[in-house]
Amino acid sequence: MKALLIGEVLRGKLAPSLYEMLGFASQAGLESVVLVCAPISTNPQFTGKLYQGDGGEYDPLSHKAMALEVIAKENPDLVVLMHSSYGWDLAPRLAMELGWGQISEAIAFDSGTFNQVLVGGKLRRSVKTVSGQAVVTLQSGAFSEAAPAGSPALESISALKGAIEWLGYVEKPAQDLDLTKAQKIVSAGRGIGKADNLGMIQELAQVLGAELGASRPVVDSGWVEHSHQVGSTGATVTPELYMACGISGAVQHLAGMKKSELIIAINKDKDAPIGEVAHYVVVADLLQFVPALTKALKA
Amino acid sequence: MKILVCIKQVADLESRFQVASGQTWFNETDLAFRLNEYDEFAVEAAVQLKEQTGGDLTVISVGPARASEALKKALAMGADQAVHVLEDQQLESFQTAQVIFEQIKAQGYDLIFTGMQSSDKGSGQVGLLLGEMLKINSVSCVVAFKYDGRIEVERELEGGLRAKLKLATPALVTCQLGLNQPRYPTLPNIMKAKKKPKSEVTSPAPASRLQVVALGPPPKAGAAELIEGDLLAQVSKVVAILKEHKLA
Amino acid sequence: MDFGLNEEQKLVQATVRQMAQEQVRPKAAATDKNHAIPPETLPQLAELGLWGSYIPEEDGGSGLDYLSYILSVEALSAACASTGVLLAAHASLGCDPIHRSGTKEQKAKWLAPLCKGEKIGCFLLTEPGAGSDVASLKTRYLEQDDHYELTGSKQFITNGGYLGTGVVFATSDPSLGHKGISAFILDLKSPGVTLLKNEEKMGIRGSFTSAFALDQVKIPKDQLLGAPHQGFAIAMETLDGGRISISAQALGIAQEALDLALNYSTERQQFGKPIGQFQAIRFKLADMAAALESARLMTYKAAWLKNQHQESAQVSAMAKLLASKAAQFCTDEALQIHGGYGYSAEYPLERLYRDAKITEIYEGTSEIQRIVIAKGLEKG
Ligand SMILES: Cc1cc2nc3c(=O)[nH]c(=O)nc-3n(C[C@H](O)[C@H](O)[C@H](O)COP(=O)(O)OP(=O)(O)OC[C@H]3O[C@@H](n4cnc5c(N)ncnc54)[C@H](O)[C@@H]3O)c2cc1C
Ligand SMILES: Cc1cc2nc3c(=O)[nH]c(=O)nc-3n(C[C@H](O)[C@H](O)[C@H](O)COP(=O)(O)OP(=O)(O)OC[C@H]3O[C@@H](n4cnc5c(N)ncnc54)[C@H](O)[C@@H]3O)c2cc1C
Repeated sequence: MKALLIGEVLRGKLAPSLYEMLGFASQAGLESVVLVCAPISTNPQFTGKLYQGDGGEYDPLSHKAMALEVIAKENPDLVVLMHSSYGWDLAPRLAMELGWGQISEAIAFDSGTFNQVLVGGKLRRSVKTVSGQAVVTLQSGAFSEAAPAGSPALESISALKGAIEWLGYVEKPAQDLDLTKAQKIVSAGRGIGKADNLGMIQELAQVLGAELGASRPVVDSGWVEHSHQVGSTGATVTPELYMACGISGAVQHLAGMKKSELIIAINKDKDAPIGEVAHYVVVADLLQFVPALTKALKA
Repeated sequence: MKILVCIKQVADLESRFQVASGQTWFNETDLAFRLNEYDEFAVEAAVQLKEQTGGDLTVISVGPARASEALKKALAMGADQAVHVLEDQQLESFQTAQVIFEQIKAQGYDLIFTGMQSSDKGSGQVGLLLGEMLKINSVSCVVAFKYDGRIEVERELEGGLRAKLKLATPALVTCQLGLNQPRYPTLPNIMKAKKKPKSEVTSPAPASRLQVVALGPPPKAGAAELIEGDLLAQVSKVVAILKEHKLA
Repeated sequence: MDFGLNEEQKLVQATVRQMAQEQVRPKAAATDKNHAIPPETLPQLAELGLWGSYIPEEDGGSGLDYLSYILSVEALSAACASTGVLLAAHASLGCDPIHRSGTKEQKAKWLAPLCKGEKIGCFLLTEPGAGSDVASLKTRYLEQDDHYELTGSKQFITNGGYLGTGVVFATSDPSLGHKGISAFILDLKSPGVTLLKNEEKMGIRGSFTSAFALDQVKIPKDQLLGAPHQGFAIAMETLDGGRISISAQALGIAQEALDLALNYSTERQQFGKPIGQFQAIRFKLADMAAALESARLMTYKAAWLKNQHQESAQVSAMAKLLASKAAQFCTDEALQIHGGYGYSAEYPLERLYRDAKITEIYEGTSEIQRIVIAKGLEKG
């Protein structure tokens, strides 16, 4: 069985997540062919074939065409992408052209079936496609990376022009805060209920000498700046201490913090999915617990 | 301008989900349902566009009878008419997209909005598949939207970065959380929604391309130790853990 | 029989719940503490169209059916009982009599601004010497050439402090008893109207309960509501409806208490397990749920009847009697389930407990409800 892994390029650099895809392929015992649709500065290290496209920034039409060309040549059984802004966008387009089923955001692979998370982590299902051929997107961090080794045989392909005009990147405004450097993070989730309660989280952070982190809803509500956001569309952090206050543990949040050394969650729902990665879950109302902890730490 | 917004009614994620053995979907009795959160942003974006350009806004949903409540909400938020494709089965993304495509392919919509994903399955496929079926431009995970003859959007990438893109209509846009501030339907508009046209149709779904092998609760990782009991005991336990790790 | 809510009713309920949850509940504790509903709440209610409630669109209202309005009061009251009664008194006591008894001109002039929330409505019946015995009111009116002149005092007027639009009751001759009473539309900013004070209260502290002195207040002739001496009937009909809205307030408070108790009983552990596993606690929760649900059925039935224009004083009185009892019972039991934390001002229970009590007093005490119910039992 053969898999086409489609690597991701951001500003001329190949995303390291390619090694997660290679890790998946080797776990599943698949032969890998890699496609990268835009020029990259350094080639990845693996054994197999690397198709190098000369496309520009992501354009669905152009990248889809390159992928289809490679698929026609290689006849893979699986087309694999990361479940990222690049992958989830390109995957259905390919599935549509190929007439294959698509499995989104797989977290595990086991004897021919993929596992997926449903309803915010409360259920899990295993699925496969009826035909056996599939387009699959992998959840970031779910599969262990393959070690870089070997050098691929290169073949180039050329891109056609797409229909979408690329106007450029919009940067997040420069901020002093860099959560990725923080040793300790105390994060607030939607469970804090209202902006006013942020004060108690900040106070706890201060007592611990930690930075303030947040889940996305807290940022979307305008309670804190985006620079505080942890997760797949925020910062990926690995502090010594991560305290998650009122955060349910959606996959996108977990993606940004699950490698923290010590994770303590405060949640009134003892079954909240954050428990899958946390070392401790304090089952309590954070509005009671957080001030009490702050007080105890001050004493 | 002809605008379409595709919505889904989903179970409230706060619910307790139970799966009968051998089933591939959870038991829906006694669950609360709501309009998919991502779709609220799609409806709001569609209504705002209609307010800007005038025109006609249709909302469509594929789902069982209860989905009519979600359609009513979209009508109350400002859609002009609703199409309810009655479907009692849990369809996979490809099937849903195909059913919608059959309903709308001859309608010539200029702009189509969908949510980026549904909060129950999180596949993120329906919008993009529909765009491909219609052979129109589509862009996913949009967090900023402007229309001035063409559309200008910002797509959310990773790490706080966004890509700014411009594309011609007809186009399809899948909406990410935070794109706008979805309005509450006002009470008078809820009452007026009753009088807006709403059609119910059925449409055979194509065969699924996926086969669900099993569905159930996640394996208890057993990783997390639960700290329960009374507040002060919980506090001293956490203080002790922090001290033990030399973090406090 | 159909006990289900229709789609519009469900959507109204969900919408008001969401708004109340996001905008009102977070401020409930402060509302109680500061004895004031935050000023930004009023435009938020306006945005949703809540002020226009069940008044038809042609009169400037939101055109809800009556049950949808009742669901709104219930949802708001669950988040904050003071905000719940702000709406209930405005709509059921301020707007309702003008809607029912007003002329076309009066509706255009007074009802439309009320429905937009430009003015807040109130109902001025009670006096220092006339509470349950409304017919003994002493505020006098004199008929002059082109106006009436009112003198007297009013007590315990919900929403009075907003100085909006009220319906005021006065007698041309106290010796006529209830037959001497007329109703008038009153602009509370009129000369001669003095706000004496806003009461300090046990509960619903965010709600204004105001005392007024009326000193030769001139009311133009076209502000007489209904016919002369029809005031008592207008007052009684208004209260029949108002009682349903107070029932809804009581349901909201009771539901909130039950929800909090249920939640707490799963979190709180004693003797090695969540207290919710003790049968004594489970029975309390069961009794609360049963009391609440039966009061709710009665309240919704009263609302349904009113929507059919088959208002029934007895049914409304039963609803209020049961719902206020359920609120009282549920807040008491919920506080008990919370133990010492329930008694602490850090938790919302003691506030709910204080808020619940008023539902047994205003718009007719529970004793008065029983009088009304018993009267309905008499035959012939
Ligand atoms: C493409 C995409 C990218 C995303 N990127 C990110 C990202 O980068 N970061 C991110 O965080 N999310 C991201 N999300 C959103 C993510 O899916 C979730 O919606 C989000 O993480 C949920 O945030 P939360 O846990 O704070 O809120 P909720 O899921 O609402 O959880 C609140 C939790 O608080 C608990 N709680 C409530 N009240 C209390 C109390 N009084 N005491 C204790 N506990 C309480 C509840 O039990 C619940 O578990 C993304 C989503 C998408 C689709
Ligand atoms: C917070 C608040 C808000 C209010 N808002 C308004 C408002 O907006 N507009 C307005 O006009 N009024 C309002 N009121 C007045 C309220 O309706 C009266 O307080 C209520 O009707 C009771 O009248 P009272 O206080 O004079 O008690 P009383 O009538 O003096 O009653 C005292 C006790 O005697 C009992 N009793 C009286 N008569 C009988 C009888 N015949 N048989 C058996 N028992 C009897 C009563 O049930 C009660 O237990 C409000 C009151 C409060 C406290």
